[in-house]
Amino acid sequence: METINALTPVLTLLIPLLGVVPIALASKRYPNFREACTFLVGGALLVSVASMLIPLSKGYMPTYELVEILPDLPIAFRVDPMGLLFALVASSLWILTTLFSIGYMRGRGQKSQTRFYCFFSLSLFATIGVAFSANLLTLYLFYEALSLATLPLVMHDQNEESKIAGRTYLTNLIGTSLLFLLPAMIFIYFQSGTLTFNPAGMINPETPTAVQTVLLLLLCYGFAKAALMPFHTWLPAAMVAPTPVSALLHAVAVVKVGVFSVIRVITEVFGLDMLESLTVDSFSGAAIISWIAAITLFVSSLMAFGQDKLKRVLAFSTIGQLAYIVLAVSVLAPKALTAAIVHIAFHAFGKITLFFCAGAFYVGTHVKTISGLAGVWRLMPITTMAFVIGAFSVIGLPPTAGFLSKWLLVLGLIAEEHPVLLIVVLSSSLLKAGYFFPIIFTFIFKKPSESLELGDSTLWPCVLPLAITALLSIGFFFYSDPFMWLAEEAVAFITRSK
Amino acid sequence: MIVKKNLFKKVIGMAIFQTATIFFYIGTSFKKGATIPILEHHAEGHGDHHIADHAATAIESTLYANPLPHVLMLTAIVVGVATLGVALVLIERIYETYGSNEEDEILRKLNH
Amino acid sequence: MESQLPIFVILVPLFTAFAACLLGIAHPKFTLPTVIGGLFMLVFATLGTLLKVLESGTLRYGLGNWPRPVGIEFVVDELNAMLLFLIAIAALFGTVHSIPVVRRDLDEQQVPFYTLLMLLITGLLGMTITGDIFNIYVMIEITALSTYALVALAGGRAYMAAFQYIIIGSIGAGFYLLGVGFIYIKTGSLNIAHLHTILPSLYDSTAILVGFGLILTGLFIKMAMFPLHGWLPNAYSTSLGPVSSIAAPLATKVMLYVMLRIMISVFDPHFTFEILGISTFLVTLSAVAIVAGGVYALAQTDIKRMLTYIIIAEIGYMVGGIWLGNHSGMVGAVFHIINDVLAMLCLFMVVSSIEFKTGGQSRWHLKRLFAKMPFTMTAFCIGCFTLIGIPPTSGFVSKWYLITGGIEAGQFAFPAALIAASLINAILVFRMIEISHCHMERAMTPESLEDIEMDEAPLVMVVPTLIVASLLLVVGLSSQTIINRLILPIIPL
Repeated sequence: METINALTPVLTLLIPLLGVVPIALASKRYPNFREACTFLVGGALLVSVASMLIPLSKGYMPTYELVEILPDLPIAFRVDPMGLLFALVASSLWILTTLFSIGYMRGRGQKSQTRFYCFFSLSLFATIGVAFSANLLTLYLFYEALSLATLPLVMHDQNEESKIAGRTYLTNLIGTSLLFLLPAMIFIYFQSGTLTFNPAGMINPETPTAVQTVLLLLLCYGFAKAALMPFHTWLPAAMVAPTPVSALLHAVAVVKVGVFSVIRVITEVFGLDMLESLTVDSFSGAAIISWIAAITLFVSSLMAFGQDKLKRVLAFSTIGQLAYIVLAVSVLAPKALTAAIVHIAFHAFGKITLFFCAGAFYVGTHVKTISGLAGVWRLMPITTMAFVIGAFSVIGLPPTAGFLSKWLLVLGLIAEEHPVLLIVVLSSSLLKAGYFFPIIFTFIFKKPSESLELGDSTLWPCVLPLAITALLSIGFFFYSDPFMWLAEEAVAFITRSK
Repeated sequence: MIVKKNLFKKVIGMAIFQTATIFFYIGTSFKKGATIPILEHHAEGHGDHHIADHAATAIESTLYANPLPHVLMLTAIVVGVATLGVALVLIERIYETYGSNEEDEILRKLNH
Repeated sequence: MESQLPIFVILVPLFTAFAACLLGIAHPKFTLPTVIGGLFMLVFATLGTLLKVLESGTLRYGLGNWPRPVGIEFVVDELNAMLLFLIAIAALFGTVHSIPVVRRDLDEQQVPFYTLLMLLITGLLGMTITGDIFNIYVMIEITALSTYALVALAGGRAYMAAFQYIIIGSIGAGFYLLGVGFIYIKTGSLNIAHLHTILPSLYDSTAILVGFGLILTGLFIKMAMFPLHGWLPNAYSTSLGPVSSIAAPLATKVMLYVMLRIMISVFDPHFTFEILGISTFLVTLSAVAIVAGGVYALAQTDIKRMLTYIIIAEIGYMVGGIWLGNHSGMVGAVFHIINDVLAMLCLFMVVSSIEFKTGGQSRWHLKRLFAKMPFTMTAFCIGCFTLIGIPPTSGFVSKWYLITGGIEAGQFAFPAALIAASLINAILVFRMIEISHCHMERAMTPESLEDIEMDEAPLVMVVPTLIVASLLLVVGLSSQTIINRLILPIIPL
């Protein structure tokens, strides 16, 4: 792919950043206008992101160098297929989330809604920034910005519980990035004089392999948003946030930024070739990451058992799914890589459906626990159906999009002959089924308790988006060409040096 | 002066330190057999031609003490006096506020 | 006119001080406009000087047309031109910001306050602009004397703090003077450029070594280098908001500049880094300073006191960076001077605003301030993020250079301390953000939270704070321009 100099990435980024201004100005005095602004900003962002499909389909990647803040180290943007795929998912789901937020926030009579919408917009700004980063420094900049922009959202309730959650959130995210990521980044820059992403890798090949392995670990743990164990605790903690936040940020934007960054580290900081040759005592560096991911995948699935809070189950499931993506990448095979990249998209649609459902249940019945929601099917049939579809997608059952990516991964693992990893993946799918099916059973077949009744909140703004995402999850099973095309382009770009 | 608890003694210590520095400078300007640094054009018993002679030769610098340190110290003395003044005023204020000039007593009152 | 620019940098604030005093005696209400007008002129003069230096290189101005090295000379190169401009804008914003507090607390003493303030600024500018090491001493004392008096203006505890400051400050200045004496005896010159040519032949002289050591000790005391920092927390935390928000960011940093001057312009890097052989010791000491400052800061509940300890840690960054003796370290340290002046100015102004509105400056006074003072708190956050070093604030850039410098020099304690400091600052900052964001009383219902109305500080406080905060971002984003145009030309490595 050729690169062309174009201002579009910067303009795209400006949309959610400047969008904060009208949202803040409208404030709580004009709530309708405020939400209309959010929709407008979201729509503009989606159109702007989608418009970049055109140059990509012609084989050009728009790039732009904004300003050089360190020698040979500018804040620079590059729209590559993987980044665009991620940006598309995030920006399209934002619009649906906004609709859902209106239902949720008003339905729950939440306070400080203006702040909520403002920081939501800022979070999107940071997410898209990560997606379009052309070097590690820019990525780091937006990564930190995202941690900071989501903090007020996590601590939205401003009470003791959210305070503690905020602390966990920060110590895990900012702590790791300062302690692991920053030194690793400076070291790489010091060694090789560049941080620009490059499928051939940016690490100086003369660096001793032991040091390289340490760097790999520092970078993978430095991006703690990928929630590799033991730095996963922030994600369940972040569930105190209002559900729209959990839905878009902690199922899509924030966590996917984490795995997205890890993919970047593996494919464009180290490069597939270099990682393949990186072995210490006949144990390959990438294999360490695979094993960490496999353990995370397995343990998180186990931890999801026995949780009664619906959102916590979803959080542990997310940790598992993230580990799954990291695992797929660390196999270093093109097929598994494609699986990892499309899974970013497909898991997003499935998981956001589940979170929307959890939120809709909460708005409708004021119940957060699984046991309390027994028999909710009779009260909220559409939502429950959507929940079933979302769960299917997350487990990886047909006819949902989640099946496709899992299928690809299994194929990749078979092709690369990783029998143990294959068993871990398959058994964790079983485990997932093991904790999702009882939930579905409880929702549909158990007798509802007497206290469970529908409140008088308007539900349609909550139900509509979740119905759409559920339908999309099924739809992508039958028609997934755009995603597959982008993922294959991304893999082709990454492996072109092979 | 660090160990003394009495504020006045601290100030005295500070003044001694400053004065010592001033003496140090003045000492450097001293030269054996030199006189005050004022050019002597009209020594007694010399005629006009002598003056012309004198002007033609360079000024014999070993004959005069170095004037510059004195000038510098003039500034330092002024600074020292000003510092001393501010310090004394502050001691007075501290005494008005806390009724004491002993550091440990004041600190005890401060922590109350 | 243009060639006279350097002298205006000193004359403007000096005459403003006198004018403020005299007009103030006629009627107190003349003082403030005089001072603000003077500061605006000063900003233009320093900006003019800066542009002139950028255009035509180093400016030399012989006072009273005495030839060098006999007369006192002003020398402006890229480094101090930038610092002069920084001092001028810090003074302007700090003074504008101080108006409401001064009106509230110092109504009777407006005239002496502004006069002393202008003298303080004159001293700082003089120290920066002069090309004569004895002149630096005089300026140090002018600065110090006005600061003693300004600190004492707060009354109560501040008397004691000011007294301690006088004693320690005079010792520091005394050491400096003594050191200058040693160098003068050996060389017979006080002019920096002249000394630079004479000294290399005397590098093996013990007297020169002692002189350098005394000067360095004196400057360390004056810049509050750990463990000689004892005076600083008391002096700045007990003084009034306006005093600390101007003195705290500038005074220590200007001392640092003087140290740099002595190291590279009076002596040369060959002497300071190779002959002396104290770099390793000083860099390690700086690392200790950084960590110690951070740990002390963690123990404070008073925000201003906490900031003073952070200053001590930041001094460690810069001293360490300079003494690393390599390119990256020195660029980082000099860039950090700019960054730190602005960050501290921003934060001290914020604390002063908070004190003005809530009547206190402990951590607990931050409660619910995000709702009450959103603009001030935005500036606060930007300032704090600079301390942590989150991009794209300027703090990130300087930290990057300093860490790279540390790795280059193989002194790993220093980068480790820098990263530790980032973490400590992160804890400090988020502890405060948490307090200002969450409400602690469980009894608070969501409804009563909505009732909190915006209660922002007056416009004269908010606007300068926001400008300085945005400068932090601007400086961070344009760091390459600043480094290439202003810092690289003067770095001898």
